[in-house]
Amino acid sequence: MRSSNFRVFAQFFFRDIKSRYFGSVTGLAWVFVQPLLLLTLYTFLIAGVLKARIPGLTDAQWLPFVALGLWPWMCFSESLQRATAAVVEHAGLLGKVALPAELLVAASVCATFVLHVIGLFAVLLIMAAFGYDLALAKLPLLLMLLTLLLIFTQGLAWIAAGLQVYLRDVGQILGQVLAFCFFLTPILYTESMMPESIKILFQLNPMSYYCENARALLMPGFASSAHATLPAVVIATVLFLFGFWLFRRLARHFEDFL
Amino acid sequence: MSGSVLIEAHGLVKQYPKLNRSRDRLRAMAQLLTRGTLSADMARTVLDDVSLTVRRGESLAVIGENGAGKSTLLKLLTGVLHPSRGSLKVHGQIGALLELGAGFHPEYTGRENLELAGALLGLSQSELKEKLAQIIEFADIGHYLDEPIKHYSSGMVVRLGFALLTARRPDLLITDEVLAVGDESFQKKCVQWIENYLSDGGTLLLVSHSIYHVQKMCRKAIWLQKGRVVASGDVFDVSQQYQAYHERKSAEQAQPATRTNNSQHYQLREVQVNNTSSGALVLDMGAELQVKLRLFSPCQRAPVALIGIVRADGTRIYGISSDVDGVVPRRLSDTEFEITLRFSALSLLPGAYELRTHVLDPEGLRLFDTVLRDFTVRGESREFGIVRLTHAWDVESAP
Repeated sequence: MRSSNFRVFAQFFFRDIKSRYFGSVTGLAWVFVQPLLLLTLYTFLIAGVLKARIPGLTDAQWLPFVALGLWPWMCFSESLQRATAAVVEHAGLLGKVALPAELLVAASVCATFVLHVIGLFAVLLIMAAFGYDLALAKLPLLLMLLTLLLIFTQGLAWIAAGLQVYLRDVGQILGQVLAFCFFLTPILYTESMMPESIKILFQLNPMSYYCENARALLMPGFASSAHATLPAVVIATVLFLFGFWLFRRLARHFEDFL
Repeated sequence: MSGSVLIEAHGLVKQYPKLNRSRDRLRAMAQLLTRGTLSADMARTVLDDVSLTVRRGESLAVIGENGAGKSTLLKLLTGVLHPSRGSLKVHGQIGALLELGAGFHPEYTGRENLELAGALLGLSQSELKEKLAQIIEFADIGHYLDEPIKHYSSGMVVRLGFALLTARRPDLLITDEVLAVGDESFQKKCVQWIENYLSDGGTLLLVSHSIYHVQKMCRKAIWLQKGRVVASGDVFDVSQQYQAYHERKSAEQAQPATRTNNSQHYQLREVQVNNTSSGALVLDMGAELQVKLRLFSPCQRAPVALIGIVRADGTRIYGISSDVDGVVPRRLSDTEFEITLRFSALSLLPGAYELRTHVLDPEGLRLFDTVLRDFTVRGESREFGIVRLTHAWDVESAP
């Protein structure tokens, strides 16, 4: 990346973060409050109302269990949705200045990740302070895992954002698909709680890898049942490269459709 | 470095997809992804086979009516758009100010917008900081710098955009109708800056509807019409052709020319202008204009000749008849007469004109026949108006 490209990226990155609290009363705090509310709600529903049990874990471990599944999912789904709109939102700018549009999408994805990773780390530290058993020494490894998730998400984000310019319903369809996928991803359950007949979905879902491994890293005694690391790295890399290639190809004609 | 090529465009074609129905978008996308071009029924061509070369130190104007493809051409040159066909090579740093504000975001302050725009221009943080004072001074927007752009007047936005360009001093400056927005003092400042920039060897590509600005700042011009180059070359030649086209167009809308011809009446049998009877007539400014008429008179008395010059838009400049000057056409036969009018050293300024010749009855009361002939006066002149009046400047102090 040329140094001027990096500065353009940084500008868009900070603008994206700033745009989240432009004109809103709750401001940037909302970025952290919303997942916390969801965390509380889901934990209450699953552990309190449905009284579900995770084999091998105590009831007290529900909270970190949900948190470590929820935050990677939030990183993924929110980045994807925000990034999809990124190009169309900047139509005015793209019509006047030649700029690498892939940076717009990347800045949007990275901004979402940075904010949510800060949120996750804060929640983990608070939980540890309240006596939850968490392997905080493995936080750097968790960061590496989330970096891989970033690469995976970025690839998909380029594909979705590029297509959105041409086909404006991509964003809406994506919203529905993501809502559906939330329940197909082991955020509120584990593989062993699934019916035998649909366990294949768990294995095929790339997000299973990230949620399960985040827990395996931080929660002593939890073992991931998702697929191995190598396929995850291959999938993320291939998606990243393909997404970049497709986006660049689509971007040549953006102006005709904006 | 002088004379090196900054822009080399050959056979540029730009097509936009026609997106009438929603499924056209899918079709257009599929075509662009697989073949890179659109099929004929999907494409609307806005630029067709445009070639141009811009060398360092040149100043080129792009003129043409609305919708001629000027902005599309500039967007191709700045890289905002990609050509559908043709080759385009750009060397050096381009600074472009397309339309208002060069992509400023209305929600952000002037300072924040300068930071992004500076990054996009390739200015480093320290360079920008260094030049900020200069930019603020040029833009002359004072404390507005820390207010959102949406609170600016349109003139202020342009000022800020232009000020940023002046700080960068690009190899090639591209501006699109920017000068039309600012107030007069800012326009003056811009024109002055551009003139200094040009005399220091800068290169300019200007889009403007103001022929005055075009002639003042550019040496070359291209005229686009419906996406094609109609004329290119010296700025005076091209802009005069363009103005002539406009004048003719507005004259056509005003009154369609008619010609009566009836053998029972007085007629113009032949009209020779500078010894030619048809075809394009081009005169140098100050040359002689000679009109020779052969007249037909059914009553065998000498008719009256009336000759006038109008500008191509219909403005009357001068007209004179033979009976006013007390001249009688020379008899050739019983019914044919001949007369010649000379304008030695024609003082018309460069532009397009029409010569109107008429024949009237011997009493000079009724007009019978009319022959029109277009002509163009060629030359380099920065004078204003239609004709050069005899004049002299006096700067000597009184003795």
